[in-house]
Amino acid sequence: MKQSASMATGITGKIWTAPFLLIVGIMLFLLNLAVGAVSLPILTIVGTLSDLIWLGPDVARDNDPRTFAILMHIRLPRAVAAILAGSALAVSGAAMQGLFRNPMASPDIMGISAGAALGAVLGISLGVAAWHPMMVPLFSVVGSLITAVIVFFLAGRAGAVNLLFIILAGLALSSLLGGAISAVLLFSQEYEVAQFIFWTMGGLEGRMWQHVLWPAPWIVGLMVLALFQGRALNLLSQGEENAHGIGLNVRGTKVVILILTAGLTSLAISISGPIGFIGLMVPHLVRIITGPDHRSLLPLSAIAGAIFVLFCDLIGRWLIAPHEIKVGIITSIVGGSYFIYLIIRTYRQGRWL
Amino acid sequence: MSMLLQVVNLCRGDVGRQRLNALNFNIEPGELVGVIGPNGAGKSTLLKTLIGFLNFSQGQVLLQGRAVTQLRAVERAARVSYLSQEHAEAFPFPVFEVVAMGLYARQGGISHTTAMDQVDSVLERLELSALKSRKFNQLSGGEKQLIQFARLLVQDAPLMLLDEPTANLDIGHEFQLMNCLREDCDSGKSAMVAIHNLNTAAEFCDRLILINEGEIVTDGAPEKVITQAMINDLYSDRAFVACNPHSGAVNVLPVRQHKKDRNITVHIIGGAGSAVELSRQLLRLGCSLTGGIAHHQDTDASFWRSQSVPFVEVTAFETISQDMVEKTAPWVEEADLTILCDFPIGPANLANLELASRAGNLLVVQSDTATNRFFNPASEQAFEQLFKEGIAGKKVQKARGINEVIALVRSQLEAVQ
Repeated sequence: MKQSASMATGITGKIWTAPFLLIVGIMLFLLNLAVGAVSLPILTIVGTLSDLIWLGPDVARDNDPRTFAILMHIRLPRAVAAILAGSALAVSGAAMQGLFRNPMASPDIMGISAGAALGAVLGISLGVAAWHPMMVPLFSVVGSLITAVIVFFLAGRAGAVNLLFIILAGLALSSLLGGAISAVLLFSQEYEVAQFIFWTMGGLEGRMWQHVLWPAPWIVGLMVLALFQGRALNLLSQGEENAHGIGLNVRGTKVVILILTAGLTSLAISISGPIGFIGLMVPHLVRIITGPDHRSLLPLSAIAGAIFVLFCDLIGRWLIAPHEIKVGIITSIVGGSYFIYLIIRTYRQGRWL
Repeated sequence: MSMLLQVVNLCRGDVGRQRLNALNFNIEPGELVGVIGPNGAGKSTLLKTLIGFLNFSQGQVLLQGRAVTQLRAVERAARVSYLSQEHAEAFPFPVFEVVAMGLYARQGGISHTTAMDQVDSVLERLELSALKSRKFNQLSGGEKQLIQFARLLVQDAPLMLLDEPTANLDIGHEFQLMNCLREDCDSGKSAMVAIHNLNTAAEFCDRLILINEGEIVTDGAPEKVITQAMINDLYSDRAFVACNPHSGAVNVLPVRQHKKDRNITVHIIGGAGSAVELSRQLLRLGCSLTGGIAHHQDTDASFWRSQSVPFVEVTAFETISQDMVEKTAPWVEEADLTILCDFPIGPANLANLELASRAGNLLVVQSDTATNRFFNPASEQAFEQLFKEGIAGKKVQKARGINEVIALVRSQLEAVQ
């Protein structure tokens, strides 16, 4: 009786978590739209948004031109950027931790962040940023994907993918690229440095539709594919050999997950820069609440990742308004301190993270 | 179709040590096959190659007639299941979910309730139901192993490959697991188990495949494979092949090597197993031993032979002759101490008393509780006589048991040093 009861609570816990997170997410989304240099009442926002959805942009603009302008040109793209980047980073973090069977793995384990940063920094230094606002994000995606491919081939040997070599190659390449970035920075102009900071720290300021719209369908598509990997990741938790014996195509699964996470991470970085700690921490939190089953972990991490970035951005904009703190700084501070608390608590309880 | 597994000329290139060379064997339904061999022989490599986890360069692995390389992962898992030696435990999955993972290859066809029923029944069969809701990563090493075994059983494949499934188990659970495999094999499944414990292998398996350096050395019935020559050659010259007195299976027993670092020679006159424990303790003390006259197949004789203690052997039930006594007497005379053990005395071994009377320094073990020690009044008389006349004028000590003997020898050793 006791067993079935605890199983039942486990399932109820999962059932309630998703709607709860969704409601929190929607509330944070609306708050993000409301807070800023000009405060907008939530009801006005909801009104304008429903006009936009049901009656089209022209009607919405005519009904409330001021609110519409603020929302459409500044806050909505920024909030959407937060949601896309947060969920993409959290999902790829969850998938990476599952793949490496290590709760300390993170999406930039393949040196993707460093690759993205170098790509962007090169783009800025070479002056291509001036051609088109999308050139730098494009450079960052190309940079991160090239890095991922190099790591993949360094670690791949005779058809097998050795995960330990992925980590080592990722580390080596990250430090190599870090050196290259510093070298480029040495020769750069002062006005370029602010841009560089964005690409090494991550932020959401000045994100427009053009930054958000082109990676959006890709992110959504890759994320949907990633959600289908839940069972495979569960099996991998038993070790590659056992998973193979159970009937999983281990090699195929590893390649698919590495490609999905590389894609998701580099696209997220192209939107927001490499925001730290999300991919590491969010899956962790979700796992504590609903358990390690990747079938629930992946979708819940997506929602929780979006919430976390929305929340951190809100704090960053509100804390020392009218100035704002980069969202990457807030995630690092919030995430880092929470993580320290978690380590101490877990250590005291003598438990696994 | 009847053959569950056919391995034809299987070769694997020399990537490090993971080499296999021209392996040929089949596994039929109902067979429980043990794969034995010293560390690094290629047991794990073989199993991993058979399930297609490792590549091979030549030959064929056929599962129910189809090449393992041609099967989709799910099709393969329906034919063969595998229990690995590695244990991953990064995330706190509940035990029942870990067991249910074994259903992956056929989850499409069964409902959630059926799945849970199967998990329950396997856990019940292994008496593990109490662990059902526990976190897998918080279990002990042995419990984890058993849960992984449950996961393998749930997969319900006709052929099971297990890589050292009993490595973390106590002897009770080891037998439980092997009995479980035995039952399944008796009902038409097959299992191939890489196993280090040769005694367990010999007891439970129909057939053993002995591997060394990636090649099959022998393939056959346990008593054909486990021979003294093989053990000495591949494992150790300090292990001996015997027969399990309880089951009749072939048995391998380790024998510790003792340093003879004490400058004292003890001669032991024994018989009927009376000298085994005493000889063992004296060897541990570091004494040099010589044995008296013992009958063939006597426990003392086998023990002395295993320990390379020199002794004189006569055929079973043969009456010990005066010649034999004369032949052994020099050892008794040279020994620093001669011990006459507490063995039954009858006409056949009466001469051992004669031998004892030659000793310069004799210690007689005689427990108070011994009854029926003498075969007939004549032997009792001879024994009495030994004390009265045979050793007149010599030093004779008495001890009531092994502990007293050892204490005595100890004090003598200390006196020498």
